[in-house]
Amino acid sequence: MDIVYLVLLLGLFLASFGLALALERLGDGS
Amino acid sequence: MSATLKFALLGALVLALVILCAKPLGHYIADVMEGRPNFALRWGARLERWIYRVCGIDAREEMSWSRYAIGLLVFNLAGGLVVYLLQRLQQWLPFNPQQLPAVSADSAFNTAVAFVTNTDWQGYSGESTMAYLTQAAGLTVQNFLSAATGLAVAIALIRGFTRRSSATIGNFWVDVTRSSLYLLLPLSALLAVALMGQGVIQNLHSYRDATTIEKLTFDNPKSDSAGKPLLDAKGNPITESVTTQIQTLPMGPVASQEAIKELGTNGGGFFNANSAHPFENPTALSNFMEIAAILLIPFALTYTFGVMVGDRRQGFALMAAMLILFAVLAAVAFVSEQGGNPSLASQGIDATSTASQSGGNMEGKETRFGIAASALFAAATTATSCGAVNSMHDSMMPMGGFVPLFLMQLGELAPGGVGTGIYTILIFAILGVFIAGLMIGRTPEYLGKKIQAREMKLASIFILTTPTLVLLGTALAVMTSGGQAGVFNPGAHGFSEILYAFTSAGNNNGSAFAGLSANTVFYNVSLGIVMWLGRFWPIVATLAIAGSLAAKKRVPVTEGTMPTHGALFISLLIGTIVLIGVLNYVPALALGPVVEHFMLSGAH
Repeated sequence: MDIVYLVLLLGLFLASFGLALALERLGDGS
Repeated sequence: MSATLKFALLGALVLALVILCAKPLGHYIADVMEGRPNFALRWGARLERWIYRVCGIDAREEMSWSRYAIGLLVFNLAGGLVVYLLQRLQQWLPFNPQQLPAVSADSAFNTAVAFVTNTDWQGYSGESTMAYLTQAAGLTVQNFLSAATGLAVAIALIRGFTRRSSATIGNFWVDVTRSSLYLLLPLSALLAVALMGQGVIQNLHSYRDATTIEKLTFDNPKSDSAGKPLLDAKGNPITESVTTQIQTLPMGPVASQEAIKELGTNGGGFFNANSAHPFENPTALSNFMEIAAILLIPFALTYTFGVMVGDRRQGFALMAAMLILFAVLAAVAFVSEQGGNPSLASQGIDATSTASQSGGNMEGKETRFGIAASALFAAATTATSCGAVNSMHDSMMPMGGFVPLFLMQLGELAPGGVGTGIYTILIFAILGVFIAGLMIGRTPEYLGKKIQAREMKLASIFILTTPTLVLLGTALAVMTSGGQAGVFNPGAHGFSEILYAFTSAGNNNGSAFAGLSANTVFYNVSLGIVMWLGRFWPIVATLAIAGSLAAKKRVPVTEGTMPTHGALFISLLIGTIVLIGVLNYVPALALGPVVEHFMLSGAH
């Protein structure tokens, strides 16, 4: 079972990492 | 002395103490975080340099907001892995005199995320689950590092306001090191010693057996090897009748964890009963110290903010907004609890407060604290991101329980957690000046920085992330068998328990309406996901705002600039916070504590 939860933890990290990358590309919309 | 006067005096004393400390402590935090020479930096300089050398950190290097965020995320991922592995391997590791087995994988995942995110949600019972090494090297270490992470983010956001045309917001590694080394460690050491003076235990002994005066017979719930309760075919707990004259007293290094539990607004108890346990919180004085410790750093950070932006009035305005929200909601909690339960009153039970009885609703409260100190603790722990409890929130009256729930749903900013409180209220301040700007048709500014589309998009992400996670999580739990299985109180109260659990997880509080059986795969996984995303998505958005603000020039103050330090701004800020909280959560609250209140009062 450990691998499932370690992958889930990594997935959550990547979801946050992905948001940081997305926000870096976010323009001001103007 | 009347109960109301007791509550007012206790609240005034606690708030007076933390506000008196806010100036020196807030100044000190600003000095150490900005590296301005003071006695602490001089004494700790060699140790600080040694830490940087060992870890390969270049302290002079400045980071863009994205590098700062990535460093923060990697650091917290590593912390999560360490806490997870310590729990899973604890039966083979030292400092486990009770020979406690490995924590189950789902509970270990939940606890690892809970302590990394400063939530400290506890689906397990500490004394029967965690070895001393896991408590001290895993959980307590994260108590320091998660609080330091929150403080680092707050300082980075403040730098966003103070810097002009800058591509950087500081160095994450330096900020975490300094906040741990110069603030959290020394304060925790002082508080731990003070708590030991009141009787909080600090040892590595195995648990002790005491012989009780009377024989006791009770139904003992059976558990499996992972510590989870065994259930029969109907889902009820399987129990066995036990008669004993032996009471096992758990031991452990409690004081050292207790101090940072409060100061770091973490909240994870060494024992299952948390600060209601006499070894964690033995006296009225220790209770006073713990409430003050919870509020100390968050209030001081408003002064730090004022110092760093060069206008202390700005910090006082935020402090005033925090104080008003806190005082009003704490009073509501006290009035609800002291008012007592109408069901008992209708049966002729005298629930008035007299010299010989506390009156009111004492269910779930410790007699050594009473209603005033319990209501104040409940408000303090949920107005911050602490989550420690000295009474059982599940036993509060519906409107009493509404207060901790709503304080969390406002975003935990009155005064909020270490770092998280100040950066959350600053995001609301940005939103407030934006709304004011829309009303008067002028480009909004805050502290000389224009608030434009990018900042508003990021602020929206910040503000909407947590309610989305909380409400979706609650909806999922009430609709699925996995979520329904943990509810022992079906109906409005059961809904409140689920809503409270996801509110607590999404806002990184960690307190619970304890009636919910949450140590299940469903809740361990779903709450774990909500805790992580509820912590790090808003942090990433905050750092992005910091980067965006730091890159801007400062516009001069003119006659048209809206002042952000007066009564008008404080009212605007409070209005914005309450409005957003109400809009997000009123439908859910109406199904839980509000309907429960009307059911109870309507029946009598």
